[in-house]
Amino acid sequence: MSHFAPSVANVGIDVVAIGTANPKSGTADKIARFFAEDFPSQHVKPYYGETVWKEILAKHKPDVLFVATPDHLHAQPILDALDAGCDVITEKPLCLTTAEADAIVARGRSAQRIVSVDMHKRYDPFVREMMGKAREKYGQINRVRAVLEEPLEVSTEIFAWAQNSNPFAYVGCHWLDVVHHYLGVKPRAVFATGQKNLLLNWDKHVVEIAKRKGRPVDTFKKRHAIETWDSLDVAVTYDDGMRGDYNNNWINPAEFEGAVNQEIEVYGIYGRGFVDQQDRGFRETVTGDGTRTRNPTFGGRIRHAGGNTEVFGYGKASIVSGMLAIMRRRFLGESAAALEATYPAAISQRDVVRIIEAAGIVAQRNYDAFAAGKGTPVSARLDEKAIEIIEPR
Amino acid sequence: MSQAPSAASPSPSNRRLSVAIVGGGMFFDDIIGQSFKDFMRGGIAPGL
Repeated sequence: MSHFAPSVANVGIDVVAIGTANPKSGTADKIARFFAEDFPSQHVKPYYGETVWKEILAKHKPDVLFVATPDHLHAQPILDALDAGCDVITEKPLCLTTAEADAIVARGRSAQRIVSVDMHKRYDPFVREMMGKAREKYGQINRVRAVLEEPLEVSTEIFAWAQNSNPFAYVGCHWLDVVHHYLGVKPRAVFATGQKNLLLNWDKHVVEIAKRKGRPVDTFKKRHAIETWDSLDVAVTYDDGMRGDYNNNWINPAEFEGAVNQEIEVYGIYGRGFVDQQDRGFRETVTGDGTRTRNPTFGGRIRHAGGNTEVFGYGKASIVSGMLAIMRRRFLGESAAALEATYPAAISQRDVVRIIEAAGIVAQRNYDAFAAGKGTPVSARLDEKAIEIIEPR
Repeated sequence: MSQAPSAASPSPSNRRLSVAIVGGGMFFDDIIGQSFKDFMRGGIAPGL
């Protein structure tokens, strides 16, 4: 337990409002009822709208805004919340462009507020153990290989906004954050390629997948082409010469053994380490569900005897780190600037966002060049100020 | 953390944080919703 626990033990937390975009979905009402099940006397008011946070900020003046909107809609609610005096916790990625990241960092520092990003893989005890001691045990690191593959359901059923993001931005950001946070490296060059075979032709492939599953095609939520990448493979060269290989997709078959496929491997000159995040040795077989690997260290549930349910794991630890920074600023008199290194602060995400932005541009230009029979000649050079796209004529 | 005698009534304190949430997708179901229920019940100290 952190030595800060006694200092913040009696800080009460009230969720006062929940906002979602579409009233037809009824999601905000469902969430309000979810809270009312356990806290019937504390009304969590539901709101709807495309810019729902504006109404909530004006009416409730919350201390904290938690942003869990789609990837491409993080920046504006964060900026508006900072202008309203809130501290912020946001889902990852912080945002999708360097300009947005710079605006958030500048606004947060000027307002002296916390902007925490839910980079929960930093808090995974397996990853922390390996990455925290990687240089000491393995010596100079030559290469990191990181994989994160999300299920097909994410891009075709769950997210209506898949075409506004890509699998590298959505989940590749996690491994970028882990590598940057634990190894302290700065990106200097980016190369990226990707594939658009399944989702771009989803109107055709959904028929085949429906057939293979023995399921009527009209039970699939999306049956039209989805204008986004199936997968992106990104190579980053860092300032110490280390290479980072990041392989991401969001088309992993539902029948895959784990909820996701995620792994990170570190190759040093004296040794190497490997964490397979989806397979931790917990494997079960259930009739109707097949054989699956489970990872309760992310968000396991405990049902206390005769009492409430509680979530535990690194998914929650990341949110707690942001909440602790907010409490230390608001109640223990510490400055936002002094707290930046204690949680996944917005400034720590600047390089993550720059790589996401550079990789998106490079991959698309290489995709176009390859289609034109010109190979994949495009890369990007990064210094502290700019992204330079290098495209031989 | 075991259930407090009154789960819906956090211990009295003049130090409180009000929180609003925007967005309610997959992350809410996985982690965010239950985490904030836990925080409303007993603050963040049990998670530190």
